[in-house]
Amino acid sequence: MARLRVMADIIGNVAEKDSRKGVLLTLGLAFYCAAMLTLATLFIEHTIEAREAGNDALAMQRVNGLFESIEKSARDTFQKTSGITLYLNGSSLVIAETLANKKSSDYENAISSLEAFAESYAGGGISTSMDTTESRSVMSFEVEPYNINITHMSYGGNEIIITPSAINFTSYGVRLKVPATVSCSDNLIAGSDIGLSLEVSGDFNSSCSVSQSVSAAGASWVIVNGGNITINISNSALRVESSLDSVDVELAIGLGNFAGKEPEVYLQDTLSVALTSPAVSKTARVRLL
Amino acid sequence: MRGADYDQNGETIMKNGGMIFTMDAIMAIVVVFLAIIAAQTQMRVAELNYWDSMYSQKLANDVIAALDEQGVLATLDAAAIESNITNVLPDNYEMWAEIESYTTDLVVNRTIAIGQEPDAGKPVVSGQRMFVSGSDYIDYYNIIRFKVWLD
Repeated sequence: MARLRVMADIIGNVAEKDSRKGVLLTLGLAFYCAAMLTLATLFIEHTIEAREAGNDALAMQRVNGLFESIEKSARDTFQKTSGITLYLNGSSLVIAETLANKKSSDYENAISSLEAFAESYAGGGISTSMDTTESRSVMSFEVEPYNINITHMSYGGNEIIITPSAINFTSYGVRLKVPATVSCSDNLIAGSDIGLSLEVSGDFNSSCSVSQSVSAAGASWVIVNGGNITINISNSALRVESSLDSVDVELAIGLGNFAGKEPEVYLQDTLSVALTSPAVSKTARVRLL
Repeated sequence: MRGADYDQNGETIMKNGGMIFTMDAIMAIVVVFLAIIAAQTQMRVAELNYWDSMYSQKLANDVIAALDEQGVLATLDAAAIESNITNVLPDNYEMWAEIESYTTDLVVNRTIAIGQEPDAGKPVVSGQRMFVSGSDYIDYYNIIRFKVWLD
């Protein structure tokens, strides 16, 4: 009996050691399981976040796609109906227009229709809004990154004004084609700030021209035909004003060698496209060039 | 130190402990596998759905934008537009589009359908683009609504 008890004690000790191993194994496995569960949870959370980010990215693509299409429509409308041409010629930005601009009403009608169309027919939870007041009233552009404003006293009128925010350009070039015999007089303040090049051509091979550096601080002017057309440079701003019925005007702003900053021209009108859910929107000016 | 539990025949209850341990382990493994499968499923669904959707959306936007830039959309010619879409769309994609064309008074002038609509229940990505058309002037204001899907 005693022998049997000794044997039982020995078996008991072995069982106790096995039991401790079992506890350690269970703890280890539980730890492993907890780690795996944590990882799985992290995966799921990450997936949900990624899906939300993906949905946002999709929404941004939809909004941006529609924004760009309306922006292009506005650009096409400008090019076809405004009577104004904007282009780069070498290192100069050129704006060409006939003063008075008799196409202004075409543009006003076309851009108003586009505004109404864009605001009425975008579907899929997207809303759009356009504010074309600025272009319809004064047809104003902003040249970035030079921060030069080009505007009209009144779109369809007889006056163009270029207003730089600083002397970060090199020259003004003015070419006029006048349906009359031309003669010019000028009062130019010499300086080294702005290169002025003026060419006026008229009927019967008449013409006059000026090529001189002028001061930005003073008030320089050229008068054509005794005041039918005046060209003013004052505080670095250029103003061309005509009282004639039809004068072809081409204004060039010399921008040096761009210094790696090719000009971008924006209408001052704003366009906004917004999606309700998820809340994504884009508001910006209309880029023309 | 506690001695081992044993019955009258000297057999310990280790057998029961082992069974519990085994069941515990099996349950733990099952739970872990379920969690891993759930995570993988989530990942697969996410990958299939939104990465494909994003690519499809980008693709469709680019195709329609290219046709707009080339002036193909402005022709309002269904055959020409469909032909150009077929030429640039990858073979494993299908696209359907509908153009609503409005006059300058914003009255519907015509509706042009391009391609076959997708089967019901087919996962699609949709988009829209506005464009103007006309020779010397702006004659029409148009909106193209499109759907694209994997064939």
